[in-house]
Amino acid sequence: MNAIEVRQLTRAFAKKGGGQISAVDAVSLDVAQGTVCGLLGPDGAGKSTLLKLLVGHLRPTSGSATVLGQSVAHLDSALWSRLGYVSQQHYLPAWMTAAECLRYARAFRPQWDEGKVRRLVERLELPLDVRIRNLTHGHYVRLQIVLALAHNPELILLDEPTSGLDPGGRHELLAMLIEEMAPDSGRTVVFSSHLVEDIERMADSVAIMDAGRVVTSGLLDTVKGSRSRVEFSSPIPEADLSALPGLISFKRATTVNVAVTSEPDHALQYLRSHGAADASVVSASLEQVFFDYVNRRQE
Amino acid sequence: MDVKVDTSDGTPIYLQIVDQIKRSVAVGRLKPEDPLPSVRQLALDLTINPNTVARAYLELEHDGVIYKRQGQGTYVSAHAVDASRRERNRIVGALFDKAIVEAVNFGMSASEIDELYRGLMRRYKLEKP
Repeated sequence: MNAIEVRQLTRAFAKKGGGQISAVDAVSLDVAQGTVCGLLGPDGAGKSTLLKLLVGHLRPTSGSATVLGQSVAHLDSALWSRLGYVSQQHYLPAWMTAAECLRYARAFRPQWDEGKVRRLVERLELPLDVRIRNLTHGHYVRLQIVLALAHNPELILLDEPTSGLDPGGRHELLAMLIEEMAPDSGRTVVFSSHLVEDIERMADSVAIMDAGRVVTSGLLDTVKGSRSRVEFSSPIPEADLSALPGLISFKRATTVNVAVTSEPDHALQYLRSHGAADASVVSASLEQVFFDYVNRRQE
Repeated sequence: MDVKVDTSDGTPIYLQIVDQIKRSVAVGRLKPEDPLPSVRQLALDLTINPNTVARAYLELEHDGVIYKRQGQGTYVSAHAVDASRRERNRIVGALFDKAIVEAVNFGMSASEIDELYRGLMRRYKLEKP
């Protein structure tokens, strides 16, 4: 069962000086219930806009999306109480103290779990008597996380949750997410990040976004397996390279040539039969796969 | 339990866990009936998705290395050593395989490969000269 189904979802904004730009451009994506989906992409790729569309903070220009079986075009409060959302924007009322904010939010959440909130506040060492405008970035993020988890939501969406946190805070946040993901909870998590390592550690599936589009998506291991690096040091003629099976990109470094390919076995055979006896396959990390997808457009 | 994950490695994380636990059994660091950490605990220790740990445990259970006791947790199975030995032969065999392919690519003959192998065995004192 899918917790999220996105079909051809587009959100356009008016551009300065006329015309339109699609921050999210014909995106289709499924997220299975009980899994963690990582949205990976450079700044401005459309990750935040996609998350805002999924929680109903923005209306789609075209296309459709369902969240926990309901269309995002008609999000009601019953559905809202099954979601937890951590935004990158500072939307909490600046004049309230953290304690006042928690009391205020509680009124809107029938499933509010006060015991859990107390445990989280203590664990995160959240200062309750400080006004929101005076919270540090780290404490502001922590307060948002308590608000997002307080009602034990079925679906948790987090926009760059680890951004700007120190290593300890980042580790703690990931640990909290792991605890929310109890195997029998069926809880689904979607989080965006520009940190490849967070995605690699936490995600079952990944969607790589660039310029509003999902350039590739699928199970993390499948996406990683879609690209392999073949390394060899023997010089081989350019003409032979262009016929390399599955060739995606090629770089000549001082001592080693690196070809990125989608067909490592055939490429290896080909290189060896064309005079590169030392050719070998190096499996690509997610970071290499990511740069391969994103840099190719920019070159 | 001594398991580490390397996210810069292209190998899927669940396979890194499977390989390391099999290795621990093969070298005797983990013995039959030793308990394994819970899925949740290992996920927290390694800061990784619990689904990934669950997948690694499923794979290890399937291979006969570990077993679940109803409601009590996960333990190293009595046949783990056999299973890990098969695994050891597979891993070392794959390395030999690579070496032989390279040797053939360099145009070495069977007797040259054999000679090289024996020389190395003597160097590591695994075979009497």
